[in-house]
Amino acid sequence: MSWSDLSRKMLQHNLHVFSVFIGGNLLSVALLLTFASLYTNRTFMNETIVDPMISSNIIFSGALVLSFFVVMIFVSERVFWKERQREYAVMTVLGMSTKEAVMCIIHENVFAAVCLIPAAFVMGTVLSFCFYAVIRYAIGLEGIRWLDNGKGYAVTITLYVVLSLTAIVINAVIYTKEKLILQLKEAENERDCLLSKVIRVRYPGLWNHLLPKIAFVRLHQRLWNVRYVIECVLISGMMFLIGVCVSMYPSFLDNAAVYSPYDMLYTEINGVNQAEQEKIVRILNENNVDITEYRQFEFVRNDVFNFAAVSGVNAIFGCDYEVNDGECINLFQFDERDGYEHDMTPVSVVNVSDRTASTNAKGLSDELILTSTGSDVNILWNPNQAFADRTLIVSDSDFDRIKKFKDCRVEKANIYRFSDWRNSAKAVEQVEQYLQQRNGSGWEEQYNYRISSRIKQYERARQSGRFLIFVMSFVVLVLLLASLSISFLGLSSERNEHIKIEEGMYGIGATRECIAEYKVFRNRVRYLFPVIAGEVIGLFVVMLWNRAAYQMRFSVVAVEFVIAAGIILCVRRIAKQLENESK
Amino acid sequence: MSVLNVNHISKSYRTGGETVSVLQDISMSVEQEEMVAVMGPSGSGKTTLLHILSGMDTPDEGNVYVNDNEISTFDSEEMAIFRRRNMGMIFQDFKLLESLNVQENILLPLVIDEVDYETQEQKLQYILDVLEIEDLKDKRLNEISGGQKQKAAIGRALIQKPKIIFADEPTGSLDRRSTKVVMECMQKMNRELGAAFMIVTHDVYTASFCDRVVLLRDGRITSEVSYDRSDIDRYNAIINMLRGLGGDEDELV
Repeated sequence: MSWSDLSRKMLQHNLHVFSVFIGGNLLSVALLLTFASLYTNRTFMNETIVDPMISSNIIFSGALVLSFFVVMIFVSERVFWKERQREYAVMTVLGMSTKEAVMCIIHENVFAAVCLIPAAFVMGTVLSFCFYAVIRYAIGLEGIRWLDNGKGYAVTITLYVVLSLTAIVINAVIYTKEKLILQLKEAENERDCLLSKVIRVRYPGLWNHLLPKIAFVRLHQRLWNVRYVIECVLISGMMFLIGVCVSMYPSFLDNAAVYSPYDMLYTEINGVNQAEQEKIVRILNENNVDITEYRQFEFVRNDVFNFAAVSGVNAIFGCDYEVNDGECINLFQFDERDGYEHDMTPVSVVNVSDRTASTNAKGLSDELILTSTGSDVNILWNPNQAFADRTLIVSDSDFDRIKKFKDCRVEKANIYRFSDWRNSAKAVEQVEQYLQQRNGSGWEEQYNYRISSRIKQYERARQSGRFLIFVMSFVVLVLLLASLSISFLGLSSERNEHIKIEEGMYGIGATRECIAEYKVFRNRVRYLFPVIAGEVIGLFVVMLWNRAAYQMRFSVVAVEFVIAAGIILCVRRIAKQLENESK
Repeated sequence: MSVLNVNHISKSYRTGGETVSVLQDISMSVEQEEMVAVMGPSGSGKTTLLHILSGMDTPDEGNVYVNDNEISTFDSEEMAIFRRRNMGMIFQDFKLLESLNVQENILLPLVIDEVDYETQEQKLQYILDVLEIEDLKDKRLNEISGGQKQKAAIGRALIQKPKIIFADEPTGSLDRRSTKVVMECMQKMNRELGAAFMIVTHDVYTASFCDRVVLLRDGRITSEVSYDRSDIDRYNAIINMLRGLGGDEDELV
């Protein structure tokens, strides 16, 4: 017999060890490749093709996938080394050096990894295509090109190689440092938990009833500890993500409505968006859209601020702000319950100076110092590229003065309300085309002055929500699959140990009926405990997050409970099926 | 001539901030072709002693010589090569590889030592004949009994014809009938191959197959008795020896 015969035989026999390793790696690499392809896709990340509100969803889900990938690589490597340690420790006793043993395990490890990479890339490419198809045809994001570059592959392979090598080095060091007698010994840690202590002291009757079952379960404890924790983390992660989707989808739609108080808005400035009002009315009417309200307001902006005159704001938006000369009010156009963090620190003193050619009689540049008298949080108009991030309401005379500064631009915002905004998509699009043609501006130039409309905002929010649900569902599905795999595919590797434990129980006089009863109890603890624990933790975290971000949406709790119950029923059913098979 | 010489070895462990002395000033030797049983109650240091003597652990003080080589001076690489050619190991739970069949398990030390095929075949055939397990050679481990597994493990320990075999509770998981078969087999190998055996055991019956019994208590050798190979009632002789030390034999071993 040669080394190669030996390796081949061990490979065949330990295929289940390799299959867990390969399965875990395959899934995580394919998944990472899918997300990396999308993240590095120039068309998807181009904000002129896909709205950043939609494409930014890939960041959070991508980070989750990356975390899953990192955990999966390290865990599967550890499991692989632990499993291989059993045989190599015996061979070390027979005269193999530790260095030889480590090299052999590394060879097996690299062999398995090299075999899986092409398969993972094929799987990832197919998955990526499916992803693209769903985004393109089901969610309706047009203009994206599938796999427009190879960066996704490069990122994935680099991360995989770096992480795998790191994990291999760590495991090799651990293996080398560990004493041979410890590698041979299968340590059994008997620890008494607080719960069992309480039950024993408070309810001795119950304890006596549970004792044999608990003792039986604890015989398996050594096999389960790590898997318990991983399953628990996966399930709680899954519950959290479901909670995120259920919270965020309606929030996207609500935000679209709240942040678009008017149905259409565009700003005009010299040479851009100059339009004949009659023409716009005609376009809207031709598309069966009636205007119920039209207003125009003037504002001035520089690189940092929008300046609005207090009389104009009060008259057009029905406010009652009071501002004296030299003073200003910071206006924050946010909804505090939209689930996002906003910087609402008011600016206390604003120095507006005309730094260009404008100078006064003394040869000094004109300068206006505004002192803040307070701030207000109120959404007055729709967000638009033409506005600066911050808005200051100033007195009419200061407004007139700022208008004359050469590095400030005077713009006019045209705002409309329609009788039925839900049917206004086509009309808004035609108005946009008209503005572009009328002003002869290029697409790039027009981009910063494009129309904001409630319908567009709503459509974008819906697409973003759908995209979020799609990617999250994908991640959730992977987490669920991984959890179920650990539970049920891991059973094959535990089977021999289970048989040994059951044989031991027969040996000390337990009857078949007793053992059957213990096995039912064991399976419940084995399969249901990590699921329930994960669900409770996940639910707790999602409720905390939901409460902090949205003042608690009860729909989230309801959906989470339904899903939690569904998973428990599903796991119970599979466990029962396995029980029947084992009988 | 001594195969194994142990000079004043001591070993202690630190647990929970306390130092527990496991072995204290142990000195002993094992002669060529001798079978020595090390007996003692749980926690007396038997297994630790075996681990140190077989190079799997190191003593805090003292020296261990196997075939006049001081093994505590070897680095791990040298120790591995020395172990594969000069020592055999037998365990209570056999430690056979499930992925291999009986003959492949027996051949394992030769594969590790990269011995050529022809020599492998010759040595394997000899071991199969002596142990009378020719019919088991192609069987997988789940097809054979505990006693047969231990025979395979003995074959594996002996295939390199080492000078000394260390056995840790070799009959611990066997019934009386299998124990007899296994111990007779070890005795036969001892006589035919001339390998020395050092057997750690709780079982008086197992010890009764040995030429010498060393009694360990609280990390010290408390008693040592040799028996003549012609003595046919060693079992009772050991029982009497234990009773002579005071207390019953259950307490002592």
